Amino acid sequence: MNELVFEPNLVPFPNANECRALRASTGICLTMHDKSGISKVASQILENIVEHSRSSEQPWTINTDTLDGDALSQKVIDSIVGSEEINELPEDDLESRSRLLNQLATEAATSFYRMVRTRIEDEIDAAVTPVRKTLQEQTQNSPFAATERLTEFIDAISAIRFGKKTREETRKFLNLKRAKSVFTTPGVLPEKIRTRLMPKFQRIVREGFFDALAEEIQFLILPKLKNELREIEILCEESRQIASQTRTAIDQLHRQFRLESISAKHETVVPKNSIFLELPSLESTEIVAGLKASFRCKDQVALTKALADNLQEQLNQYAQKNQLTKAIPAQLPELLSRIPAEVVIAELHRMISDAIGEHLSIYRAIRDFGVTEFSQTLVNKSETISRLGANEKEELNVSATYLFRGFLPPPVGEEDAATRAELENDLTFYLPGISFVELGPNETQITLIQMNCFFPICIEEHNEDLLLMYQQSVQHDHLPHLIGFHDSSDGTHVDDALKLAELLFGEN
Amino acid sequence: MNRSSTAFLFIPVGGVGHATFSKMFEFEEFAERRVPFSTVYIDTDVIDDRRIDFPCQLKLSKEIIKTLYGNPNRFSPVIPKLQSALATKLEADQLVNGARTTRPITQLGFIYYRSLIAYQIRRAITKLNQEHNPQTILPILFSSSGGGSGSALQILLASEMVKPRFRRRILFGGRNSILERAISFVAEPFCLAEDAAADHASLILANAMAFRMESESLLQKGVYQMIFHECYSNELGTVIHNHDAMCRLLAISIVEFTRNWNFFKARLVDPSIVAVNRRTNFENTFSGSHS
Repeated sequence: MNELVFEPNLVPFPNANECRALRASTGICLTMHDKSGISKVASQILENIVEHSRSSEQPWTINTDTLDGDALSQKVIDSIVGSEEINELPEDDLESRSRLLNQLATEAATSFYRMVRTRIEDEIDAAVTPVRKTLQEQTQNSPFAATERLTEFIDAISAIRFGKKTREETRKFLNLKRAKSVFTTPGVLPEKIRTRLMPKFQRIVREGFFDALAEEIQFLILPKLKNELREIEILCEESRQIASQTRTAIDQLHRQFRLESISAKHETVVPKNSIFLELPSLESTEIVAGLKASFRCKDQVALTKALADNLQEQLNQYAQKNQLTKAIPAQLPELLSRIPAEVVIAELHRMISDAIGEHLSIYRAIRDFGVTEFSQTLVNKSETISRLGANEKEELNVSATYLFRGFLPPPVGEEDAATRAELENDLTFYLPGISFVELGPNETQITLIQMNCFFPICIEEHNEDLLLMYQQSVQHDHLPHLIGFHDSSDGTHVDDALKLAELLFGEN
Repeated sequence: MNRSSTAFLFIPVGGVGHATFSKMFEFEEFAERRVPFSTVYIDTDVIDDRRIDFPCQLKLSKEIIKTLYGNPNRFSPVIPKLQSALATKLEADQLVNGARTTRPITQLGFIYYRSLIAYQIRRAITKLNQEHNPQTILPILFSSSGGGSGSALQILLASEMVKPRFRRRILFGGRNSILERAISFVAEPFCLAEDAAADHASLILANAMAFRMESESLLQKGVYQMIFHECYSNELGTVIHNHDAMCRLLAISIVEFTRNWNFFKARLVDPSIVAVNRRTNFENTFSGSHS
C-alpha cells in the first residue's frame, strides 16, 4: 500500500511526489456566429425554388394509340405484302401458302420467318421508342406531376388490346385448302356450277390467306409487345421512384434546415464565458435585400428564378463531377433527389454568403470590439487547466512545453486583411511560436487552442472536485476501480484516497 | 511503396470515443485519409459506422457470464473477484445491458473478448503495414474518463498492449519495436455529469478520479507515453458546456497532435521533461499480471 503524501504547495493527489510529468491539456476558445437567420432564409429560398420548379412544370400526356396489337399486325402485313415470297406465289398454290403459315406458327428459321420477325421488331420499336422517350423526358422535367400521370399511363397500358388469341383464321384457311379439290377435280361438281363458283372461291382463299397471315403475325407480335410493355412498366416504376425520391429529398432538406435552425438556436444560448464574441444574426429582410442587390433582381419572383437557375447550375457541376445523374444537364428536382442534402444546404449557404459577403465578416466584429483586447481575451480564455508556476517547475523539475494554434477564416471585406494581420501579430506577441491555419471560404469562426504539455496530474486543480465525488460515491456502493489496478483488489475505493478526502473535506 | 515514418492506430473507446472519431472527419486530412491511420473501435454498445475499419463489440450475454464464472482459470484469475464484487451490485442477469458507469462490468467483457480484441488490433496493424509500411505505429486511445466503458477500456487496453504475451498476439511475427506505447486522450466528464442526475453525476466523477489514479500508476510504470486531458474550465471560466463541444475539442486535440507528432516525439525523449521519478523499464516493472 502506498504511503499517504500531502504536499501543501500542490493540489492534493495521493502520492503526489511520485506523479510523472507526462500529462498534457488543451485549452480552447472560439468565436461564435449566429447562423440562425441565414438558415431561416436559406430554408425559405429552398421552398420558393421548389414551388417555382413545381409551377413551371408542363402538363404532360403520352399517346398510347400506337401500342395496339391489331394495328401493329396490319402494319407488318402492309410491309410484307409486296415481298418476293408472297408476290411470286402462283394464284392456285395453296400448298406453299399453307407452308408459309406453318413456318410462322412453328417459328422455323426460314428466310420468310426471319423477314417477318425483322418487320415486327421494326414496327414495335417504331411504336414503343417514342413512348419510352416521352416518358423519360416528362418524368425528368415534371417529377411533381409524375405520380398521378404515371398511374393514368399504367391504366392506359393495361387497356391495350393484344389482338386475337386463337388460330381460327388459320384453321379456316386449311379447310379451304382441303375444299379446293372439290372445285378443281372434274366431275365432282357440275361444270356450270363450278365455273360460276370458282372466282368466288379464289377470292375467299386469297382473303383467307391474308387473315390467317395476320393472325399468325399477331401470335408473333404478342410476346414481344408484352415484353416491351413490361419494360415500360418497369420504367414507370423507376420514374415513380425518382418522383418519390425527389419529394423525400425535399422533405429531408426541410428537416435538415429545421435541425440546423434548432442547433443554431442552441448554440446561441452558449454561456458567454465560453464564447465571448458573437456575430449577431442578420435579419431576413437584410439578407433578402442583399440577395436582390447581388443578383440584380427587382422582385421576389425574379430573385427566386435567378436563385433556382444558379442552384441548378452549381448542382449540375457537382453531379457531373461525381457522376450522379444520367442526363446532363439534369433538372433541379432530379438533382435534389440525387445530391446529398448537406451539399445542397452548403451550396445554398454559399450562395447567400457570397451575396451578402462583408456582413458575415468576423473581422468587422473584431474591429468593433478592439483587436488588442480581442486577442488578449482570446488568449486568456483558451488557457489550459494546468498552470505550471515557477515553484512547481523547480520543485517538480519539469519544463513546460506549449503548442499554440489559431484557426482563422479568410478575409472577406476590404479592411479584413489588415485586421487579420494585426490579430496575428497580437496573438504571436502573447503566444510566441503560434502558427495559424487558414479555414475554408465559408467559415466565420475563430478558434484558438493552447496545448500545455508535460505537467504532473497532481497540480491539476480539479482533483479536489473529483476526489470529493469519489468520496461521495462510497454511499452508492459504487465500484469505481478496475480489479487488480492501483491497489484496488475488489473494485472498491482506495483507502489512501478516502483518507485524503477525509482530511480535506471531513467524513463522508 | 513509400514508407511512412509513423502511422496511427486510433482506438476510440466508448460513446465519447465514437462521437470524437466522427468529429475528426470534419477535418479534410482525416476525411480523405491523408493521415496514415487505421481504426479499431471498442464498446459495450452496438456499433454501426462504416468509417470504422475494425469494430469490436463487447456484448455480454447470460451464457457468456455463465461461461466466465464457470471457467475462471481458463479466462483470468481475476474472475472470482469480479464475480463477488459485481454480485453485491447486480444480479448476473443484469450484467448484459452495457457497463452503465460500472467499470468492472467492462473488465468482464474485456476478459471474455480479449482474443477478439487482439485479432482486430492485429488486422488494423496488418492493414497499416500493407498500405503504408510505417517505421512505427502509434496507438492513440480516446474517450471520456467518466463512463463505464471508455475509461475502463483505456486502462485495460494500454496495460494489455505492453504485456509481452498480448504484444506477440497482435504483432504476429512483426517487429516488436514497430508498436509504440499508447498515447491517451481523455475528455474530463464534467459536462456529462452536469446532464446526469446528482447521484449518477457523483459516480461519473468518481470514475474520472479512479481513472486519474490508475492511469498515473500505469504512467509511472511506463505503460503510457503521454496522457492528454481536455479542460473543463480555466481561471477565466471557459466552459466546455456540452457533449458536442467536448467531442469537438477532443477531435481538434487529436488532429493537432497527429499534425505535430514530430514536435511531440522530439520532446518525449527530452531528458529535461523527466520529473521526480526516473524512467523505468516498463517491461521489468510490468512483470506482474493485472488480469
